[in-house]
Amino acid sequence: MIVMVCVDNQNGMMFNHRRQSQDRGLRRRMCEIAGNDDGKFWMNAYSRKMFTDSDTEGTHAQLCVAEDFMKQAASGDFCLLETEDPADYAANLEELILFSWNRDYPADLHFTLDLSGWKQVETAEYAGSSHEKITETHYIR
Amino acid sequence: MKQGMKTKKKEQQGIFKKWLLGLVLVGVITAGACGQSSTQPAESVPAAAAETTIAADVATEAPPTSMTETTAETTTDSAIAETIEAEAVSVYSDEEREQASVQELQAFNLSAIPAYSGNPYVAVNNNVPYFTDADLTSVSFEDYSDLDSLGRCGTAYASVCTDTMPTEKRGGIGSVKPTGWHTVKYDHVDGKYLYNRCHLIGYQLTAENANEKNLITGTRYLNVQGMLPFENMTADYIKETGNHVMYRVTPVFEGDNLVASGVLMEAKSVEDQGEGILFCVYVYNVQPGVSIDYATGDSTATEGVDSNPGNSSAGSSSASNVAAQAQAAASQTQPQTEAPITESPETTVAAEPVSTTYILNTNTKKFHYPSCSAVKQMKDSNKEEFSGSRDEVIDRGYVPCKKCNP
Repeated sequence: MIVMVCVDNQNGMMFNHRRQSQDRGLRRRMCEIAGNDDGKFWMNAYSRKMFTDSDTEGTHAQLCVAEDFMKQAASGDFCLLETEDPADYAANLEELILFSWNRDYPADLHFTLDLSGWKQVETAEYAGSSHEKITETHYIR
Repeated sequence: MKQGMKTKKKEQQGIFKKWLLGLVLVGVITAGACGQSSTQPAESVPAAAAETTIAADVATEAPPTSMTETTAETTTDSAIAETIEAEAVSVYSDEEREQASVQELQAFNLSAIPAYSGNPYVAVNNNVPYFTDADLTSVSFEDYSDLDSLGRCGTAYASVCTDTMPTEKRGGIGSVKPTGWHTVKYDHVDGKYLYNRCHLIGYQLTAENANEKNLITGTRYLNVQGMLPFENMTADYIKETGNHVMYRVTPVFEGDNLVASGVLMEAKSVEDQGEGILFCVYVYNVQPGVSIDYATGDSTATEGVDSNPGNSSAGSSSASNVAAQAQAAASQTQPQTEAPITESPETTVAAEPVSTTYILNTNTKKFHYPSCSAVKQMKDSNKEEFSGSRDEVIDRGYVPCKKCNP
């Protein structure tokens, strides 16, 4: 599976069970990435609630919702993981797409996956709808 | 004083009640701490001895809204094939929060706040703010408490939305001298300056510039590590959703101290009943490696910290032991060959609000002297001229260029 994760400058992901931030432009970008491969785009209902029709319009992303989506997703499927540390699923990850907000937020859930065995293959920076700079970095094993 | 257009509708009775709540909060702490100063190393800032009681109107607060969702969204688009696998979401479930007792909601007990131990903030009341359901309003407003008899700030309270947010860059705030203010530098502090003029409600939320009712003496650590992340989280949510957020910041002063021990930050998103934003945290007004006398704002480096403290008090000069220790520490740690940082009180009081012209790179978030070579290479679209103090530039989130080292 190909996992997408958003982090802040301290690798934080959530605070008090709430996402640190969101960005309409980034949601659109996620759907475009997932849609390019006609892949299923898995997430839980918490994440799904954030997506609107305009995020997916014109893309081929197939949004799939399940609470145990990290168990259901097959090889090549895309997953948006917001509420758990990807390190918990390290063995199942084929690729990681890390989106950095480049800002500081409060956090009590952090990204702790050890990337020392991963290879960075692509990186890009762009502005989101409310973020001056979002950094997108792709890692493969 | 205001930047941009704002809607400011004050529901007078409700606002006063809320203001009173904050006043009681501060007042009880003040009364309960016996008026003693509290000089403590940053690592062991004490909690107040007295329990702090929230005003009576909170006692009737209903239990927090359950955040458990029971229905997964099932909307399908013709271009989207969705597979809804779950009916319930456990993400919001927080039994501790839901079981928070009415008793807990009635009182913010500073004595229950653990001493600072390395984290800039700690959750209070299971992260449930002390707002009542009646407090939540989608009508934007701002309210800042009058200064007390010692000149200290009280609660700042707002329903924040896009219409309260700034429409232009922040102006200077150097004209405001919050209680306990000192201009003092330490080498190990980010940006050198120990104290910032900390907005209770951040500029990015309510566009308040030099409002003395919204600025306290806070450490760099409080400002950047403690408060800013919560402001960012709130601002992003509002920008992306257009929703309102109830937002309240209460400085906590012990006794007659002129410097707050910390601030209580509360926020709850309105339209979604806290689903997007919900926090209640105490943020410590400490600076690692610096011991602060909260009665006066005097400070000294703690043992083992390689630091060069330089002081220039903007308030009354203090002959306290702490000040003497600071001077002693300065003389011990500063080789005579180094450029002196310590400034004489006579010169620094006058020199403090120095205005310098800097060039800001709005893309890289670095600032430069106008003569810096990097400025010539900068795109005009990223270039912004700013006149003010170095402290103010740093407050705006900029870092000094390593070439010209402004």
